[in-house]
Amino acid sequence: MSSLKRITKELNDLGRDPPTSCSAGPVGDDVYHWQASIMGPPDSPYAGGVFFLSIHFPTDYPFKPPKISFTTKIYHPNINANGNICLDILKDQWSPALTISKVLLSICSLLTDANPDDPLVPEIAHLYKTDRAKYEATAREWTKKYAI
Amino acid sequence: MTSLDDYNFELSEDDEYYQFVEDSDYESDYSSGKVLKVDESFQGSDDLRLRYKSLSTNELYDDVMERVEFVRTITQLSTDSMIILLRLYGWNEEKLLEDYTENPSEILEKGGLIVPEHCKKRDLTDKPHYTCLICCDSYSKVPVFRMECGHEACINCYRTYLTSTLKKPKAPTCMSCHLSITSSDIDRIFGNKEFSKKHICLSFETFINKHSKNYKWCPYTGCGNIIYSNNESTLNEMLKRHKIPEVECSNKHAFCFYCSTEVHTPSDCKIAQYWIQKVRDESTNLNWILNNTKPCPFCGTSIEKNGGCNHMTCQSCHSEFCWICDGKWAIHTDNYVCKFQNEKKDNTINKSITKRFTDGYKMFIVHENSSDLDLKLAGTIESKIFTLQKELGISWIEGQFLSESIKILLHGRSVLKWSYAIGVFCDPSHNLTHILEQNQTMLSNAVESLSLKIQIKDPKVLIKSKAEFHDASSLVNGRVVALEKCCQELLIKGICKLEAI
Repeated sequence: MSSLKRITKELNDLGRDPPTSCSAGPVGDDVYHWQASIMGPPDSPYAGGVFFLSIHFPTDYPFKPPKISFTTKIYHPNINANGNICLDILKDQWSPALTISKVLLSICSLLTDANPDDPLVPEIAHLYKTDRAKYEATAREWTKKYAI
Repeated sequence: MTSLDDYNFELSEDDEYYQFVEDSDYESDYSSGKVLKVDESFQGSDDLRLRYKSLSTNELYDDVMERVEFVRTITQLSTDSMIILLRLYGWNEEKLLEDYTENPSEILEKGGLIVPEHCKKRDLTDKPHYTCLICCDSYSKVPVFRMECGHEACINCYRTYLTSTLKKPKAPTCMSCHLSITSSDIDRIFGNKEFSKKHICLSFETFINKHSKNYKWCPYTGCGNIIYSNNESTLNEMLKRHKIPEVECSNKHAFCFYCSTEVHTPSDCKIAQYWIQKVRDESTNLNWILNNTKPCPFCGTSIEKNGGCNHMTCQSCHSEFCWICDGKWAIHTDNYVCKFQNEKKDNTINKSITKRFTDGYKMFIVHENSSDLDLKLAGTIESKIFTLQKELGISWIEGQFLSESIKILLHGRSVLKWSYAIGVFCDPSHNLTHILEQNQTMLSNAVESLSLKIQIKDPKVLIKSKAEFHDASSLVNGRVVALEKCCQELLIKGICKLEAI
C-alpha cells in the first residue's frame, strides 16, 4: 500500500530532521495512528504549555487529509472543546504535497495568529476581536491549568 | 450588460426537439382589475406553450462548450484557460467578462494561469529509477508529469489526485502550488478524452444553479436529463395567466419548468408551492386528525372519540350529537341506538380556512392514492395489450386505445388532485366556487368510470367495450378542460387567493 510507504517516509524524515517545537510519532504498533505534541509559541498566550494532538491517517493518504485533533484542552477561536481544529489545509485546501511536519507548523502559526473571521467557537472569536487582553488572560489561564 | 441568453443559442425553428407556439393575440390586462367576460378572455390561451429542449448530460456538455467558445472569442484565451476561469467564476460568464476586461492579469493569476517565465515546459515523460515524492514508491521506470513550476509526481499519483478532485467546483491545480492543470493535461495523464469531460460534467451542478432561469434538472430520481428553455417571454406570459409551463424530458418525465415539481395543473406555481410545503409540514398531524376525528356537525371542531357510547357532547359548542349519523342526540330516544344512519343532512357550517384545508387535503390525498394505484394499473397495460394480440389476434396498433386511456386517466387524476389545492383558497361564498365544486364532481365521476373500465380483465369484454373507452376518455378530456378553465378563471379574477392557513 502506498500510504504505508509514504507514512513511513514521513516518520523517518521527522526523526532525521525534527521541526523545532513539534514532535510526532506512532502510538504503539499502529502506523496509521500518531500522537504529536506542540510547544506553545513563545510570542503567544500559550507559551510554556505543551499541547498533545492525535493524528489518524486515512488509508488513501496522502490523497485525503489526515484527521488531527487536540487532546489537550486549549482556549482558541479555531479549536473547539472536542479539540477539533478549523484549518483550511485539513479540509478542502489539503494537497498531497503537504506533510505532517508542514501541517504541525501551520497549527503552530494558527496558535500565534488565530483566524477570528472563520471561527469554530464564536464566543472566543468575539472576545478575541473585542477584548484582546481578556482573551489572552483566559488563554494563559487555560494553558497553565491544562498544558503545564 | 446583456445576458448571453438574450442573443445567443436561439432555438432554431426547424429542429425537431422544439415545440412551437404562435404568439396569441391575447390582450387582456388582468392586473388592471377589469371585470372580464369569461368566454372571450380565455380564447387563445390554450395554445400557449413553452419552447424548450431536453438535453442529456452529453448534449449539455456540447451546449456548454459552445458557450465557452462564445466567451473565448471575446477574451481570445485558449479553450482550456476559458474552462478554468469559468469554473473559478461558477459559470458566471458576465461577471467573468466584466472582471477580465478590467484587470486581465489579476484574473489570470487567480485562475492559476500565469506560468513562470524561463521555465521548462510542462511535460509527461518516462523517467528511469524514479522515487515519487508523493507516494514514496521507487520505480525502475515510470511516466512523470512535471509542471512549469518544477513540481512533479508519478502518473499514478496524478491519476489518483485528479480523481479525488473530481467533485470540486474549481479546476484542479498543481499539488504544491496554485498553477492550474488544464483539460488537455488531464487528457494526457489519463490517455483519453473521457476524464476531462467527466471533470467538466461534474461541475454542471454549479453551471445549472447559476443558469437556473434557463436550465433545469429533471426532478425525477435517477434521471439526469436537463431541460433548456430561453423562451422567457412565453414563460412570463404563462405565469401571468396562471398557466403552468409544463415540460417533458426525453425520458418522458413531465414536470413544471418554473418550480421543478410534478405537473400541478390547474394550480399555479404559487399555490402549488405553498400547498406542497403546507402538506409536508402538516401531513402527520392531518393524517391523524382525518383517521381519528370527525368534525362536530354544529361548529366544525375536530372531535376524537376515545371510547364510550355514541352520545357525543362537543366541548366547544356543547351541542349533543350522535357519532354515527351526526344528527342531534335529542331525537335518539331509543336506548342509544341510531336509526338515522342513512339520512342525509344539510351541512351549513361556514367552513374556516383550516377546515377547508383539511377537507381539500383529504381529497388531494384520496386522488393521489388512486393515482398511485392507476400508475400500477398502467404497468399492466402492456401485458394486457399483449394478451389481446395473442388471444384475439388484435393488432398492436388497435390495442393502443388502452395506453391512450390510461394516459388520459392519469392526467385527469392529476388535474383533479391539484384542483383541490385551488378549491381551498377560493372564496366559499362565490358562485364560481360552487361551479368549481360541480366541475370537480363531474370530473371525479368521469375519471372513476374510466378507471373501472381499465380494470376489466377479460380480453373479450375489453375489446367489445372499445367504443366505451373512447367515450369515457373523451368525457374525461372534456371535463379536464372545463375544470382547468374554471380554475384559471378563479385565479385570474382573484376569487382564489393564496392566504396563510
